[in-house]
Amino acid sequence: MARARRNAAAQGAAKARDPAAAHDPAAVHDPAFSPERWFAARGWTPHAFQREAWARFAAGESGLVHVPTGSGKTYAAYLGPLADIVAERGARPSSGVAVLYITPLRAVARDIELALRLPVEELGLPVTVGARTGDTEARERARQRERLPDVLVTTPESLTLMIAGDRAAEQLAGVRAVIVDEWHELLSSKRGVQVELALARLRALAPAMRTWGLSATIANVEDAARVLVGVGADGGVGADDGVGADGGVGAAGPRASVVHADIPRPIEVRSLLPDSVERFPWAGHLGLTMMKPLLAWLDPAVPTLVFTNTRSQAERWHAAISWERPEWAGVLAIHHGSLEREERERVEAGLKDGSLRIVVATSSLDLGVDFSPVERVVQIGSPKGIARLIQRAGRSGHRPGARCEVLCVPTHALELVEIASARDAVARREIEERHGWRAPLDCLVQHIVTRALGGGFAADALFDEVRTTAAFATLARADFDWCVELALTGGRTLSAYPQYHRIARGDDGRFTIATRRAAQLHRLNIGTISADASISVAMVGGRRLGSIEEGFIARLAPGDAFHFAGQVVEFVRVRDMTAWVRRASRADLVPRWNGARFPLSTALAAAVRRTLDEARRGIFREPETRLAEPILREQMELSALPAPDETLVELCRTRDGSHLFLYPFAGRLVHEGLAVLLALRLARTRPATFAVSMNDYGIELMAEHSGEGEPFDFAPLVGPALFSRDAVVADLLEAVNLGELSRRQFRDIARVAGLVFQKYPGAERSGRQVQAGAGLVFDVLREFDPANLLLRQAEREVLERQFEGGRLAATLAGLERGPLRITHPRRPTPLGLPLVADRLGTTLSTEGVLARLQAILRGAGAE
Amino acid sequence: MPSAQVSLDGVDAELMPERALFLRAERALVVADLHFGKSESYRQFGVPSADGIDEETLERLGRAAMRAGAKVIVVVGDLTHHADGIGEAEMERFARFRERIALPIRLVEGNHDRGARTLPPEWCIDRVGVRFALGGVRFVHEPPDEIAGGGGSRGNAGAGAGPASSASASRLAAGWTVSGHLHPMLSVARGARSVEVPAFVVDRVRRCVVLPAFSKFTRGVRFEPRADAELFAIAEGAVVGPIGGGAAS
Repeated sequence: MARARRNAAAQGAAKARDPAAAHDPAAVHDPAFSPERWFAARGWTPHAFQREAWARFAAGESGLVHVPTGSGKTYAAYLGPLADIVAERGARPSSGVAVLYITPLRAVARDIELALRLPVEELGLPVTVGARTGDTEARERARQRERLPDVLVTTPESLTLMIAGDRAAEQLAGVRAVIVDEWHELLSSKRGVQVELALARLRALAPAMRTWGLSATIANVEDAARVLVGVGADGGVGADDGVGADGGVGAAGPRASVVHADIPRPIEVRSLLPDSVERFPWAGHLGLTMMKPLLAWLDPAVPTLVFTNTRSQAERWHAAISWERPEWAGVLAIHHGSLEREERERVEAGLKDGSLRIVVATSSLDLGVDFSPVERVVQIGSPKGIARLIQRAGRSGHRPGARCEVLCVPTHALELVEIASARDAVARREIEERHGWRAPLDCLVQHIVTRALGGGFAADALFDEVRTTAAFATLARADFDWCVELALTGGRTLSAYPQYHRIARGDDGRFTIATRRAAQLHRLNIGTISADASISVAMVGGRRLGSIEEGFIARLAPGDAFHFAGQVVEFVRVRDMTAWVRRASRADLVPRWNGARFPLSTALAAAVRRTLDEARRGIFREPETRLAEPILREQMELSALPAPDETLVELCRTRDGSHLFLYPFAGRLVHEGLAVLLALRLARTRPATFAVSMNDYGIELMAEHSGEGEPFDFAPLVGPALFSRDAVVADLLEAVNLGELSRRQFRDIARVAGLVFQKYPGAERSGRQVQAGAGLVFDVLREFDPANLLLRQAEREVLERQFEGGRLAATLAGLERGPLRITHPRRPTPLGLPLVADRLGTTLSTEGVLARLQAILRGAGAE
Repeated sequence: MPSAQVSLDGVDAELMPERALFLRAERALVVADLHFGKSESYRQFGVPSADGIDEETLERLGRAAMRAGAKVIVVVGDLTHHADGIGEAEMERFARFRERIALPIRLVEGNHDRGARTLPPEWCIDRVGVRFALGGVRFVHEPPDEIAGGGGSRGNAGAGAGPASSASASRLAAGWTVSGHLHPMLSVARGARSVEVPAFVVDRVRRCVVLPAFSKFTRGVRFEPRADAELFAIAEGAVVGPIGGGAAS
């Protein structure tokens, strides 16, 4: 892809300079386009995987091209279909599109379009190439209404809009190939489900269509390929209910080929080490203690990407670097998902043309645009996952086969262990799996309305069609009918309200969109990406900078200064749904975004356990572990380091209360689920309130003394019964409902299902209003329509996604099996201290509100 | 049902867990902020909601009136949420309630009531303007500003400068006033335990009682325990208090 894009940019010049390409009689006059010949004419040699992909496409197969980034994957997937449509040109109807290229990144659509156009223009092929995304200009759209190009670059959302168009059948019936880029990224999101449903529709319209995906490195590549090509009408997805059901995709249905690229890219993981571990922080994740050494290492002469794990961290590091090095003002920049699009594009362009030399970025730059000039990559903090580290490392030396190097900067002492472990896992190529969603009914409700809009549907046919997707392969008819009913009447609670009658049943039994307003609202709200409850930020009388969560703005007083978009700004006021700011000189505040903090992946967790086991046996091989040795020895002296098959439990009492520390090393999401589950089960023995804390290594439950009776004693309760998998789903749901988790999850579900709208014609609704709205909907449904399937979906999503369902079940199985290594340290240990320090105020209580109130009042009275 | 008894300088009152105040001598049940029809208003705005909320409100109101043996109901403002929210179903529901509970209802106008100029005659609501008095106690929807200010942190209910603030000086000198509007919630936390529950505010300095919102479909102003006012929390069907206060005693 890299090479293609560079050449695409210079295509005009190349044509003039390269007479071979322009005058090769075979290339120009042979009506059938040959990828081999075109590569030869350009002086390129195809990789083996490219040849394989062309051959497999020509043989009628569908599947996945599995390659590291920057390795010519676009042409691997595209030239087969191009040859096909050139050869078959006479045989297909002239209106409508023949090859769809779907990218999740709107920003790269233009680059891709140029790459796809290159062979067409060089050889004068009778093929038109175009793009259709949210950015496509009105004039181009109008032209496309007349006639779509033969080859169309688009996004999942724009594709769904085409399916919702009244000429969908006519426009899409001639599709011969669909290429889905970055499938590994789409796969595990609801956008992936949206693509699956769109592909099912396309296959129904164009049965001969072939589907090819492009994916970076993932462990379960065969699964990913099968999800992409669909499972056929009676395909089998693992279908046991509840936790642990992240099952693979069954082998039934169309065959999915996998083409592996054989391009080795050696990756070197290095780290920037503190002088000594004694004064290195125990916890936290900002890691600015390493600022000075990093500044000494950074050099504007060498273009460098500095990756952080959160947007706040990116702002913080960017501010610190620009404070220390004001002379870098013109070559230093910041990039993250909450910045205004124009600003992000400016930074991307600066990276591409080499005018920006040091860019601090979040995962917003993990994918997409090729930044060839970048030579070095820095990772602030643990990468938390192996695939992510490899992906980020791959942003440097963006040439096939080039060696890439990443410098990790630890932010606290235990990250030294994580970095050493990550190096080990990269060397062993132990990479994470990614799984698709299973039956998200909110996506199905949206698709039902989309289909009603795009020419209407008959229920039986649509049911059969959606069951050809992996996501809905085992969908029950009753659940499907419930979704149709929801779109038709609003379901039980809302049936009296005409605005929820989005589709209508005709006399012939076909469903179509109910009203023009329903159609308009639906088109505006298609998609599964939900905006955070955020508010736009703009300079007074000037340009927009990006967006910040409303909660942060709400806490500001006029005059408060904060870092945002790489600038220091001062809050002026909120008006017209915008926070107005002006330039200021110095600030201490950095906005927080409630974005996901990546959990420690399974693959990296396993590597960390290996490293700790080596330390237990006195082996300190890597520079990072040698540095961390005093801490690890202190851990062993106070408590223990766990052997590979055991789980460490620490019980200790402080003046705050009784503490239980448990270290499954299963990542913070699993630990969140585990913590509330254990708190609930423990509190059943006696009503109690626990302060709950979790990180990637383990959990802490702290029982405060209530002022009455004996202090809580964990010791007799820690055993197999506590970790039993019996009734785990019911217990988790009870715990989740005590907390707010499913309520929060419901917000997105309500939006995707169209129960609350993100956009209204003419006005954008504030995310906070939708949040309040969805929260109310949740409470109301839970009280008056508890069987509502969207509620059940919210609960299921919390269990499966929030808590990484299968991983939680596996963790419980490990705990139940034992052995537990129980120690009684005299004070919190090096593993436990970060949990004590990072306590986030999460609590779980089975005490009634009255008992809690009385305990609080007693406590206050005792002072 | 455990209520709490308070004396407002000789006027005996009962703080009831149904979120109502009962003036024993007048046998008057005093409530505020019913926000009847609020869920329908939300639906008009595109946010789904369910019936049952209004039903519960009216059911509880009827129960409180009967349990106390009231002969009059005083609503200290915000009987309805918005004119948009009174559809046919709401009309019908309230009319049925009136068939059951035929007590006189006096409505002291609140900020939301101003939007609903005319109420259906079959509801038999006696609108008494923005101020009303009974048995030496006055009723005004909005309490003086200082109540929310001193120690209470503002939630999303807007107190604003209503007609009440100009009247606050004269009220200090006179007898007690009962208000609503703020939807007060007691908010306390200690260590891992935290509680947020509806509460009565009894301010003996300003001689003012602020009632909790009668509707459960509301958010409110958070009050932490403070020296200048007693708080009475409603938890699990009991009224717990006084919490805080003591400055006036």
